[in-house]
Amino acid sequence: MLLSAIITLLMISPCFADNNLRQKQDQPDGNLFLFPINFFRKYISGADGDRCPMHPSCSTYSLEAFKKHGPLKGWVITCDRLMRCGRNELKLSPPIIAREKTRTSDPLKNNDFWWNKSGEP
Amino acid sequence: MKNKLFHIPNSMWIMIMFHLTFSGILPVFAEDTKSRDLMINPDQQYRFAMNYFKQSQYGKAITEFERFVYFFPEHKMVDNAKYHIGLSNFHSERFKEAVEPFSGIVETSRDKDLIAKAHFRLSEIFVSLEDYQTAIKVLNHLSEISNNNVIVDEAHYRSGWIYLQLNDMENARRHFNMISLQNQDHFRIQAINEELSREKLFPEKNPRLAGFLSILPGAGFAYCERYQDAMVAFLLNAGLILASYESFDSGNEALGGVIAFVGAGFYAGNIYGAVASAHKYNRASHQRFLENLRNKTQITLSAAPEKQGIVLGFRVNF
Repeated sequence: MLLSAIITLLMISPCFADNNLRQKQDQPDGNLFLFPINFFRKYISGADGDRCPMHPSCSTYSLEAFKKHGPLKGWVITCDRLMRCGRNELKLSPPIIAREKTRTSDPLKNNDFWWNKSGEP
Repeated sequence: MKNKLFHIPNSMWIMIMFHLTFSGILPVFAEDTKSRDLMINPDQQYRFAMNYFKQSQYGKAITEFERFVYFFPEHKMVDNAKYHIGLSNFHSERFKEAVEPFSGIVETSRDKDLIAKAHFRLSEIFVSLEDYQTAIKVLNHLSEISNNNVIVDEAHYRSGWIYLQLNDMENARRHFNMISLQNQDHFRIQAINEELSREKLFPEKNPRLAGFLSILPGAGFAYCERYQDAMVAFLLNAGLILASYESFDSGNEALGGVIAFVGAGFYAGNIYGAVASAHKYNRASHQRFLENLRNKTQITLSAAPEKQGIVLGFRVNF
């Protein structure tokens, strides 16, 4: 059980790291659901380093998803991104220079366009 | 002894000096000032604006073309100036700002070539804004008002491509086949129809099937040929389900609840990701198909830069 929890944390933690954007985007937000993400960006990711190979980083992506789609769908979209981060997407999506390195471009609009097509704003 | 005849009193001297000063010298200065006034005629102003346009300095070009329109509103090149204002905005990717000048030409200009070019540019703008229906409406309007076969055929050709982009093959074929017989060779309609008549135009994945397969975590990703994602989804979900089960089994309901909550998110994310992956696969496949079709049947359409009508360029890949 403990091993499973550790594996889970190890798999998802690098993806949340994003130092450079943190300063700009860490403005206090009244949304309670964003608190864990903001907490992570402010206190954990700073020590961990900017290791997310995607652009925007998983934490930025997650913030966007929560703001755009609300807490429930935002959480699901975040989980999806964490599973995809740094794997097949690296070959399937175009590279982009971001945060002083070559990253893989994977904006939210590339993953929710089909939902929007079916009518949701 | 002084000659009284030529004696001029002091007051008279002052008068003479005053007269000389204000009637003779000042006009010289005034003439000099006049000669320094800048006089620009309409042609100079238009050329100046065009100079910026040709140098791709679109912001300055817009300012100068607007100055031309303001100072010479009756000049015959006013519509061309407005067209170039629209074009400068278009090249600067300020698509919304580009709509107004082109719409103005469509509504008020008497120059048929310019009206046609403005229609084509408007349709390109709406395609760039992803407002495909309006782009098609603009082209339909042009084909209704124009009596020039080449222009009407180009409007149908462009509409056909917009429908291809929308993956509406039926309407695309309909518009391609509306092109007049004499221009079908030019627009390579036979080659396009051959490509479009294939049974399977491009490979697709069924998003619903991808979602359904994701009941088993990772299977939906595997269906979309994302094997690494599939492996991670499977291991992560299996681990979380196992951890949650063991927590409840050993009496740690609180821990089990937290892990179950996280696990539910990843399970739903696995389904969401599989459906999204199928859509992304289809979109990429569709884009590849269009790119391939473009390469095989490519012709270059361009509006003439000056008053020479519509120009068609042809390029054939061997």
